[in-house]
Amino acid sequence: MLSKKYIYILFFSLMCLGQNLKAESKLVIIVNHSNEIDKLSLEDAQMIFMGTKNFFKNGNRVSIVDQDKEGSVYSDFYKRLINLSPKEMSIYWAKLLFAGKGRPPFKVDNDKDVITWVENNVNGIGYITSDHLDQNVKQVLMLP
Amino acid sequence: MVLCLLACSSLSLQAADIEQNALQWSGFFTTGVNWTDSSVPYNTVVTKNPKVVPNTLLGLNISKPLSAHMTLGGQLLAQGANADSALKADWAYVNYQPNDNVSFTIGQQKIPLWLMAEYANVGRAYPWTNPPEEVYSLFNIQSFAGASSRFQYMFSHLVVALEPYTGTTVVETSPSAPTSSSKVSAKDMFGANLEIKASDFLKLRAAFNRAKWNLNLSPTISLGEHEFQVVDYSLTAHFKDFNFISEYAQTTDLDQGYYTNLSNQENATAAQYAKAGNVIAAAAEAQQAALDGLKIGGAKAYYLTMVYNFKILSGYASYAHVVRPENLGITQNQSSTTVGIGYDVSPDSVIKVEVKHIMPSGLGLFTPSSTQTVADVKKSDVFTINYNCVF
Repeated sequence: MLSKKYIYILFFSLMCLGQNLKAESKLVIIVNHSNEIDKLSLEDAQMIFMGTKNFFKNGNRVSIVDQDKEGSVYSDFYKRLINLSPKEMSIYWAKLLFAGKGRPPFKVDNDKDVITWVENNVNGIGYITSDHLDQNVKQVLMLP
Repeated sequence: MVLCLLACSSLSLQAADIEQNALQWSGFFTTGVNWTDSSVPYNTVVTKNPKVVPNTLLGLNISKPLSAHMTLGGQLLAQGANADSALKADWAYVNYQPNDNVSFTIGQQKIPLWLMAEYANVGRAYPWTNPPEEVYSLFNIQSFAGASSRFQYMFSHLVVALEPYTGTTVVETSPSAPTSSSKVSAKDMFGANLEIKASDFLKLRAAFNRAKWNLNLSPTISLGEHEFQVVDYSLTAHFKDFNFISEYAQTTDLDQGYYTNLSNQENATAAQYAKAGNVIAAAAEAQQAALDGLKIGGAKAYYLTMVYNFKILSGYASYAHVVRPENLGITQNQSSTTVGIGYDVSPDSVIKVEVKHIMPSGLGLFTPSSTQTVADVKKSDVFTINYNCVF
């Protein structure tokens, strides 16, 4: 009887811990420190990551870095950004790519690689979990 | 010239841009099987015998940014339905985009006429096994050689884009068995596509295309030059797990009145020859008159499709209808209902199973063999199993 009680406590504790982790896990959009943009609207972020908007206000071409589509960061990001699943994103880019109207963003494996890529590319823009945010890149939007 | 552009552009690239600006290749693949319970072949290739080859195609796409504003792209396509199944150029272009509001493209390009025109071969990009042939077989134009531009304006979530284009094209009317007279060329082609898009949730499109088609195909098939116009309207909506797709298209032969008059005159001439006893000349004239009297434009078609996405499954139901002009007194209309299910093997690939119930009026889209007649055309089902992927 006692052991059953402990199991329930453990179970609910883990559930609460899971909720806290989920609540604290934020996604942020980052750019190179030399980029004059300090803030990005959600609408602009949607248009940039969907390939509709290809230039920053200063006229420089946006260089998007995407994450591995099999990863949870990728699916979480596009779900929060524009409510599309990995399958829907695959279809979206297939339509643009094979019509000759666009080219999917360059992909890297994880948050660390995104930071390195944005650091080394003055027009770079990417997304990471806020836990990995460091001083070498600039946050311009936190996704709701 | 392309090689020169590539060489020049590579010098201007910054080191940090090298990965992003590398030559990128992608592709798509479709294979499957379809058959019908009809004794008359449907849409030329679907018969009682299940066939794999006509449903198999492979596309390879390459793209290379030449600079921050210029991109080179191309696509090769091999289709099992074609007589030689060879890998052929689907399109190849150079695009110049100085800013977000305007871009210019020169080369062989897809025609932005039908809703799915630009990716009709990419099965992963739409719910059905094939885009509804009621609309997509109305006028078989897919690409053109020429110039196009895109003017795009963004207002918050709304994107309004206008794409005018002009050029020439050649259509192979019988890909499975091409002949010297099966290629039809068009000149003075121009058209435009207007698109209003609210994120990815709602898209409205209106497009038109007009061209002068040379129908003098051989010494015995000489129909002159006809100016055709095609208009197409479509609406797509995406709400939670539901997608709604609808499209309407109409073809018009702008020279039909002239040729009908000519046909009547030649019929009268033929009657005079016959009266005078010149039977051979009369027969030749009558044949010419009959050919001139054929109506090629004047078709209308639409479809409505509802898709429900449930995790890795998607179910869809569709209704399509086409009205085509009579051919030698035989109607060629049909309605169809389609139900299907797609199973996502991965985000990039899907297996689809589909049943299409066809209700023809006259010939519909059936193609009787030389030993069959319109009386052999009956209500029928077409069964299709497809695998589509992009890579």
